[in-house]
Amino acid sequence: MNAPLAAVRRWLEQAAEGWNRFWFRPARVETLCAIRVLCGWMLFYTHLVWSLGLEDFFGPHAWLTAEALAQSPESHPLAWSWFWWIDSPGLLWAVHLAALVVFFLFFLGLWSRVTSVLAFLTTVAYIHRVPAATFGLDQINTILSMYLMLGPCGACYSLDAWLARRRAVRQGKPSSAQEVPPRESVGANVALRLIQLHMCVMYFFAGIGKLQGATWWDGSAMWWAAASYEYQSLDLTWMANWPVLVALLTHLTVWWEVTYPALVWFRWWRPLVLGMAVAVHLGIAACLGMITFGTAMLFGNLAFISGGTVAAVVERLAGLLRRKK
Amino acid sequence: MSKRKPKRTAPAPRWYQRPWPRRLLSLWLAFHLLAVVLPPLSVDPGGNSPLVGPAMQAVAWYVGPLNLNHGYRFFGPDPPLVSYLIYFEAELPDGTVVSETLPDHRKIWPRLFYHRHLMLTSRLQAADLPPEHPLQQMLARPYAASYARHLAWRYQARVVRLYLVQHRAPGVEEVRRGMSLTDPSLYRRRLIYTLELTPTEKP
Repeated sequence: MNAPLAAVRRWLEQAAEGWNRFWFRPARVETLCAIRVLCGWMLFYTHLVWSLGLEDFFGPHAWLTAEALAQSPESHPLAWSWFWWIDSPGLLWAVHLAALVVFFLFFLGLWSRVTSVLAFLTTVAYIHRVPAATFGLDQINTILSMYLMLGPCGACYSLDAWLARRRAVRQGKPSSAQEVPPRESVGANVALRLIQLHMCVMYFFAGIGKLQGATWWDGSAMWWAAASYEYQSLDLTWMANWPVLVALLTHLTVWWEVTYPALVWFRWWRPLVLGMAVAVHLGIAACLGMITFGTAMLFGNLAFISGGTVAAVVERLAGLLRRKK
Repeated sequence: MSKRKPKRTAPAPRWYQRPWPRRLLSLWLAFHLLAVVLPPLSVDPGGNSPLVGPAMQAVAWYVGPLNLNHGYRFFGPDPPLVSYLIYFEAELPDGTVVSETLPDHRKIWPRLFYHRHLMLTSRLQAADLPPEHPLQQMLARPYAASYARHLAWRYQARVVRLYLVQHRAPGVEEVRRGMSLTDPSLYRRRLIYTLELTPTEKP
């Protein structure tokens, strides 16, 4: 009787150890910081583009009125946005410019702890005002900005880090003290783990959602994506003469999405899974006119690249830049 | 008097290394992951499940404000076989009529801004559902009325007629026979909403 109980207890202890190892082991901060730079730029660009139709989308006479949205299933009673209280164009522009400043500071990594929280709140405020004009890009923007604010995303590749180093030099501290803030952090690990798991959830449901559609089974889905004039940004009608290629791309996409959450955790499979992500998302960016969405999804995939690898790549890029100068 | 060796104390554990904060953080992480998984699980018809439906209701207060309420069905269950656009006619007070089909990627730039408009018009595909379908009442009609109202304001028009334009993608055989993606036979247009302002109403 004791042996099975002991086995269950051992299993529970091992599970708890595994959980703690997964979430609370410190991770190098470089990956999270690189995601901040890329996501910060994407947030800045995404919201800069809103400037072209600020009053059309966020003003009191916008495409979507409060009354229409109140009836819609896209809305939620707690889907807050400060745009509901703005009815003067001057104030609207002032708030928008402030938002752009926040995103730009977040991208640069200045006062990252504060700007990361403001960037997330601002991103959500825009989305909640006009959910009918949003798509996958806004979802990945929300996800990345939400998790970035949980970790030390300004610990490197940021003005914060540059200022900290300068302060240390001024105070005559030894070079090791210049490494403030720490290069490894539990917060960075929690944030990266959450991004990784959320990416898995997204791909898995994108994959099993496709399994409900006939075109993903009969191998024609990629054709319908390519033949959608409103989406396509490259003429892909030549694919009409390559049905086997269309079917291969269709089936590969579904297989990759469905298996992503299982295979991406294995060291040997990861390059293949992430390589597919690069191919699929660059394909979406180049052929289906969603450059922003395609690249933002790749920023999320970066969470699976180790901090050491990111640091090495950044160092090499910096070296190339120095040599050019 | 014996010399006592100073006692070396281990550095105090960070807050997340203490058992209780770690347990609380673990609880939140587990809850958050549940809240991430439930919205895509409850996409129609998943919400009808006696387990998923109530669970989704229970986390709505959390996923709503954080904008986590998404199904992630990118191009699923099928890619768009039909695209939904709008064509409108706005009658100005001087009698001239402004008309346009939206969105047009040759006129709206950059691509992201065009895509914002495409998402707006795509929502009107609900107008193609049977009249008794809930989305007709909740989405198609209020959105069409709201879009018409916006166009009246933009052009200072007294009358706005809003048409839903369906653009079917051609099949492989049709393209092989030489059909272009913008062949006129692929488009279908029907009036879905008319806004007529009374003389006292402001556009």
